[in-house]
Amino acid sequence: MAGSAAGESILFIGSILITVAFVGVFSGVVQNLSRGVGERGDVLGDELASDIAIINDPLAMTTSPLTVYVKNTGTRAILTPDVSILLDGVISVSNTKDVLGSTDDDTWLPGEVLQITVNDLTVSPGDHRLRVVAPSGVDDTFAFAS
Amino acid sequence: MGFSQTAVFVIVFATSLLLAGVMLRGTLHAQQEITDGWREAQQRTERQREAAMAITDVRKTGPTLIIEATNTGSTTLDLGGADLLIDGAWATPQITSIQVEGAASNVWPPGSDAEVNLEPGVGPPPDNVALIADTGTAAYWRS
Repeated sequence: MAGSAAGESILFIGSILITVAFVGVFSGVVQNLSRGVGERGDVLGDELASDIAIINDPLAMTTSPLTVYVKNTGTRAILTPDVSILLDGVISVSNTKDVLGSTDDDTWLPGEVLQITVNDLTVSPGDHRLRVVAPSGVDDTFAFAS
Repeated sequence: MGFSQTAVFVIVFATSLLLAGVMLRGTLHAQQEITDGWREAQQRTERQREAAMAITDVRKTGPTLIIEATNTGSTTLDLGGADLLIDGAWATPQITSIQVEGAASNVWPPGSDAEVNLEPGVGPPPDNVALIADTGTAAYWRS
C-alpha cells in the first residue's frame, strides 16, 4: 500500500515536472513569436508611414560636388546615418549629411530638408539617375542631365 | 493517475490561455501599426495626387525677390512647410513673408494666389526658381 502511494507520488511529481518543462519551453517560443510579430508590425508601419522626395531643380543642379536636397514628406523621423545615396547605381561611401535648419544632423524630422553632399562620386556630362534610400527601404529617384 | 492527469491538464490549459493572450497582444500591436501606417500612406498619396501649383511671376524689387504662385490643385497646401530653391540652392531661410490672397497666411486653398517674399541680397533676378510644397510637389519658373 505504502509502495503504491510512493509510486503514484513519483509518477505525479514526474508528470508535473515534465509538463512544467514542456510549458516553459513552449512559453519561450510563443513569446519570441509574439515579439517577432510585433517588431515586424513596427517595421511595416514605419515603411508605410515614411516617405522622402528629392527636391532638386533638375535644370539647376550643383554637381561639383554633387549636392542633393531631400525632403522628409512622411510622418516619421528618419535616422540620417542610415540614409544611402546612389548615383547611376554606384553607392556613395563618402558624403556629408546636413539637416538644414536643424542642429541635430542625425535625426531628420518630417518636413525637414536633408542636404547630402557627395564627396566621392563625380558627375560626368550626360544623363544621370540619383537614388536616395531611407533605412525603412523607402526611396526616391531623380533624373537629371549635366 | 487521475489526479496527475487533472493537474497536467490544468497547467497546460492555464498556460495555453496565457500564451494565447501574449500572442494576441503581439498580433494586435502589429495590426495597429500596419493599419496606422496604411492610413497615413493613403492620406499622403491622396494629397500628393491632388497637389499642383504654378509659379506665375518672379520679380525683384530692390533686394526683395517676389514670387507669385497659384494653387492649381484640389487640396489645401501649407506654405509654412514649403521650400524654395533659387538657382538650385536652398533658399527657404531667406523667406521674409508669405501672403495668400493679400493676407499674411500659410494656408493656401485651391484656386488662390500666394506671394512669397524673400531677401536673397543684392544681385540680378534668378534664372531658376523652384517652389516645393509640403507634399513634395514642385513648381518651376525659368527666366
